[in-house]
Amino acid sequence: MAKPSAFQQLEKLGEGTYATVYKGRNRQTGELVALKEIHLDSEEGTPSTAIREISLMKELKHENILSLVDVIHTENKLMLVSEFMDMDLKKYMDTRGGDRGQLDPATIKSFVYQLLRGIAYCHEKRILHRDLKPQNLLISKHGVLKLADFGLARAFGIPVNTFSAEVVTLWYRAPDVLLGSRTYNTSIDIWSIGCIMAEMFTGRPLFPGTTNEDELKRIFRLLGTPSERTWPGISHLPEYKPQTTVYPAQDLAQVLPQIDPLGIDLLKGMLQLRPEKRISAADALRHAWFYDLPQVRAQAQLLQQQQLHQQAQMARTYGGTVQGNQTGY
Amino acid sequence: MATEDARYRLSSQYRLWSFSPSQLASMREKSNALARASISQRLSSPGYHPPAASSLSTSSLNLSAPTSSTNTPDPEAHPSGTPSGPPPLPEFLTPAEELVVVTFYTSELLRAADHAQFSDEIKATSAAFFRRFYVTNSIMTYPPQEMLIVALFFGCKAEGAFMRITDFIKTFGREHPEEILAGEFLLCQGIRFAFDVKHPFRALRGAMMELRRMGIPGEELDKVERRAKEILRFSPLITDAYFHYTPSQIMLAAMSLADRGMAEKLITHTFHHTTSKNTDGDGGDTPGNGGTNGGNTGNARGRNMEETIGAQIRDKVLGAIESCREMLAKEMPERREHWTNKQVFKAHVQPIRKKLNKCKDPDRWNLVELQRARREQALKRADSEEREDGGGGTGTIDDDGAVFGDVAPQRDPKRRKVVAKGLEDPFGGPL
Repeated sequence: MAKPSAFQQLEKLGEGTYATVYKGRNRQTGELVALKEIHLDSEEGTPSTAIREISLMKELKHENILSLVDVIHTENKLMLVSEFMDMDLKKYMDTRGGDRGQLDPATIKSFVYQLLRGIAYCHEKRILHRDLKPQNLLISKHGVLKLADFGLARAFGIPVNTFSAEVVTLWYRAPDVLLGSRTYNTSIDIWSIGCIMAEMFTGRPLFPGTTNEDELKRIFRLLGTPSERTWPGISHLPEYKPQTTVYPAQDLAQVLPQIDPLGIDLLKGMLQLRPEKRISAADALRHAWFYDLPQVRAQAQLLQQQQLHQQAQMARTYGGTVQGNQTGY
Repeated sequence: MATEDARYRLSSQYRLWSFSPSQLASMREKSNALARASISQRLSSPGYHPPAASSLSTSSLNLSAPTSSTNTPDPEAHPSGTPSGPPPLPEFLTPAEELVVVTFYTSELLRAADHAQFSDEIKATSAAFFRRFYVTNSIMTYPPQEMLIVALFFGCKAEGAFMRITDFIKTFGREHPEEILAGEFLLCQGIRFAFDVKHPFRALRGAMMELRRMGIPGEELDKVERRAKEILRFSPLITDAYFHYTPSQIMLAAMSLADRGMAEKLITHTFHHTTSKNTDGDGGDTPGNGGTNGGNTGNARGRNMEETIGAQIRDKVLGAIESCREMLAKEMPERREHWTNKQVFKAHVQPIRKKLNKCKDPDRWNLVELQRARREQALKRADSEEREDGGGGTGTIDDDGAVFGDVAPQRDPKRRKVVAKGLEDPFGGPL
């Protein structure tokens, strides 16, 4: 797959352990792109992370998922070309957010909705992201949110944090994963979305733990210490240790007064300690909190119109050429 | 059903690697013709020297002493080289002969994967990579006995089973990791970075669950499943089935070969939906509606169901399954023995391999040398570019065409020594 010198390499955007990201420009169209240069491991060949990322991105085509434009390589480097996004959510909050980095409710609702759409699509394709965090969510200047960095930790994005990558990742990690469960599923991404949603409202990470144990403690302090009674089977999880302090669950609405009651209801669904109780992405998208979103309203209206139209047509020519309409989510 | 189909159409397997039989044939013809053209050009270029008999014994992977002289066209570097003009062009393989070689080496790949006890998914993914690679590359250009090991290594990686290269080469009786790594890049390119291969194994598990729900006794099912799995582990992998059919079609074809009645039962059960042309009645009479809806919406829905799981679709699916079945039937699992049979090998494969030995690409056959040369060239180019750019922060992503182009012999100043590496057992002697 020979490629002409189609892209001009511009300034460096960020550096990770396995890749360096540059801004680039398509010489023909002038369009901006992101160029992710993979450092090739001379000993083991193409890094597994790159293979996983290319593999997934080749299959994922959705408006809320960063799209892979091309894969280019020369003999000594491998380069993933993707669409260019202006910044990640972390930077967006730092520069556009309020005094503490918090965002306005309308923006948050739109971002959470887009985030859920992207992840619902992944889950439908049986793909877990596993590493959702503000640094992995890219925002365009038109307010479009896209998921990036598939199956990867700390590769894309622009780390502005002083904490190490591992610590940052812990903050969005589900309690079942922290407890060492190996049977985790799509619910781990939902937990991360819950954490990110709360963070957008307050401008502060919800559970900024420093270690595995500290992370769990912070979670239990807010949501209540689980027991075999509230979470059957918990004591069998590999990392489970009986907690010295048993915290009662707090009222999320009181802790997060910024969030309206419907928003709190959705957040509660996402921040369930027990993975099987967590709301699914598909169900979350149908939550009443989103009903006043312009795109949801427009969709509902369209649906209603189509139904009316359908009924009218059927009344006229019973069994006529009625196209059943299948709207996505 | 419909969403599953729609999803499949978005997959790279469908978008990039699904063809009609005639498309596939013409792609192979094109690869064959391109290889003939470029090899002819290379063999008749003044810088080329046919491999001397003495160099046959030299390992093509003389890694301990990589000297630049291996890349120079200087005749003095070849002690046995007696430049006497280009030799007459060899007889090239035909596309049909290429396909026999590819099929033979696919069977070798599967045998190697069995030896290494890889999972069904790794085996199948590796086989798909290997066959995809040789759609757009001729077997005369890159050595199949090397590429099959590369495909296995990359298949492990793509399936998320990471094996250290040192352990990997040990499994296959190789000595140098470079042998495998040199081809990895080439393979990635050849398969157009489509690393996600969809297999029929999951579909088979689903079908079994469905049949169980239909009340078919477990014993009967187990027997069918065992045989169908056996078929899926071999027949579709060594034929072109993955290029022409979806995973569920392949699964149904395999099941049909295992037990035709069972497959038919499942198909009739799945595509049971019928709507009468006369739509006077209410929609509720069609199964699937379950009477949960009022009459009028039921009618529209019935139409959708008809489009998805109705008789017309059933017939279309049946046609695809039947032709897939025919394809698989040509390479039933018992044919493993055929491909390892010495008589068969002598009669059908050996003559082509002998021919291949004479018409292989002198510049591409040694992957390690090839990679080294390309790296050097890339570095040289980067150097000169830096000078042109004045060391500025912006650069250019190189054009691979010069080194990866199909016909670029004149632009490639380097002539690599060709060392005939005998077509030995691809995974190091008898197992």
